[in-house]
Amino acid sequence: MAVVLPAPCLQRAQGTIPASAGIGLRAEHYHEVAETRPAVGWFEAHSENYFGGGGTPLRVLESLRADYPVSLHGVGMSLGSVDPLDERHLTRLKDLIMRIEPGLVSEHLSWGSYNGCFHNDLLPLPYTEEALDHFVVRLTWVQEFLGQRLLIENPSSYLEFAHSTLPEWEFLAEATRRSGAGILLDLNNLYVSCRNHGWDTHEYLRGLAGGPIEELHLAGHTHRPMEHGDLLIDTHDGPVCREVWALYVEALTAFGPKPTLIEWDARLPPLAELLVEARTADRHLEARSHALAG
Amino acid sequence: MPSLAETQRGFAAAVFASDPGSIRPWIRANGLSPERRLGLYRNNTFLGLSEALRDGFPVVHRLVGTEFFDALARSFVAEHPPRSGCPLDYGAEFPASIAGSELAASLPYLPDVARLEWAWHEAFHAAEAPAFGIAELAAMPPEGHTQLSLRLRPSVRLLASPWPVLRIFHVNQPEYSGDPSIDLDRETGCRVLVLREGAEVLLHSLSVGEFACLERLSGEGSLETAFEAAIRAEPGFDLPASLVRLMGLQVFSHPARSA
Repeated sequence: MAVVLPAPCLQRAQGTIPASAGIGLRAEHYHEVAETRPAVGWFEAHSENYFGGGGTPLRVLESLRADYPVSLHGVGMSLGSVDPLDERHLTRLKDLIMRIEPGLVSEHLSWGSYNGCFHNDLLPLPYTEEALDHFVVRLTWVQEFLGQRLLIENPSSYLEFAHSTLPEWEFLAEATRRSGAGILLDLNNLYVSCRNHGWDTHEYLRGLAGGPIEELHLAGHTHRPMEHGDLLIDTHDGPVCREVWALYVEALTAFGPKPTLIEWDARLPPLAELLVEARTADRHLEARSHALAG
Repeated sequence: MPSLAETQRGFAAAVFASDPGSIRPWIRANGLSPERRLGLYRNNTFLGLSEALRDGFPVVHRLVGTEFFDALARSFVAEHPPRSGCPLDYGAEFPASIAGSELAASLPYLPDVARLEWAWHEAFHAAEAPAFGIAELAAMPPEGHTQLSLRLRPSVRLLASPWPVLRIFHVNQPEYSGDPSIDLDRETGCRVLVLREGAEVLLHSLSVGEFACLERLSGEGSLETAFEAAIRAEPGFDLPASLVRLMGLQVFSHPARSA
């Protein structure tokens, strides 16, 4: 079905991402979102899906940008790789940033390519001093190249390296402190990784106390039975579970109200169902704001 | 202790070459073997990329079914891992990979169906550019027309095939409700113009002359050399009539200044 959009509009909504719930912009919802302009605080778009330079994806994103703040979330920069940074990728992102004027731009604490081959995945780093130095140099360079501060998101992972010497939260806190970047704390990833590796979720949150947490992600995951109990897989294909909602409340108490994204990427529900999840997040955010005001 | 580079080299070997040997000792078992943990990442990569190919080549998928498609996709992913971190770039070599695959040897039209789908994908995402049409042409002095360097818009793609891939594409769209059968022994090949109009990608059939003309223009030829190529391919080629039709389809972008 063709997406009918109003003519491009130079007037734009202000760009700052509010401390309210946002939802991910997905191709399956382009038509409905363009038609209904749902009552949601902001949208997050996967940057790489808009690297084409034209056509429906960019038209939809630009048209939404007229009415909403937009955050750009990248999955393909491969910040932690030893490969050279891909300048074409960074140039495409820079062009997109100039075009969309996003409120936030984020990437991951991970790597994705070796020797020019990309895994299409967010792979875990060994949490060593060497990897930390490398990550900080790259992140600093990228922020300068883009003229844009980044938020860095904690990944979900299914293995730990025996040679890691730092806990993930310390690595994340230190990498962002040294580079001046912010933190996008994904509470589903935090939960998944803590469960998979036997880390303590409270210790993880305490480890980031005072850190520049500027956005939160909430998503669903899947339990995969293994010989020694379930492994949790970060599938983004269902509603946010009870345990992750509880972590969310804990995070709001620790860090205050923050922009919160409902991430749902696979087996997408009708838009209405996503909006119900967003309203639940909004209720938690309001409760926290009232508690702070009171 | 392995360096970051050694860690990533070992990890990549486990995923793309099924060789976990060097990275294995550096992964904590913690209740699940390193091989199983690496296997999860290997699966994520192969399944994720196969799914991306299914999304990009829906007609090929429909023609051969999921099991067959996934076999084609797996061997493609192993031979051609993505070379960029942008998923939109992935799949350009898939048609050539199908053409070289033993699996698909009995389906000689399949590579061209895949080429048509990749052209569709490129047209869908291509940059915008204003069209150069009849009105713009009329505003130019006529003596300059033959030296005009007409260029194709970024969203235009051309494809010629000895197989009726345009019909194969159309009858395999989800909304198509007619008779989907195609007699490969009777139906002939085609030349297809792929272009985006507004938000929608459209496919048009081209005559032999039109195809030769556009192919020359896409190779930076002048209108004069394009016309010569068209006449060679299709004696009696009617340039004015074809230009009017192609300009109506918004094929051209604003020309570069002629040398």
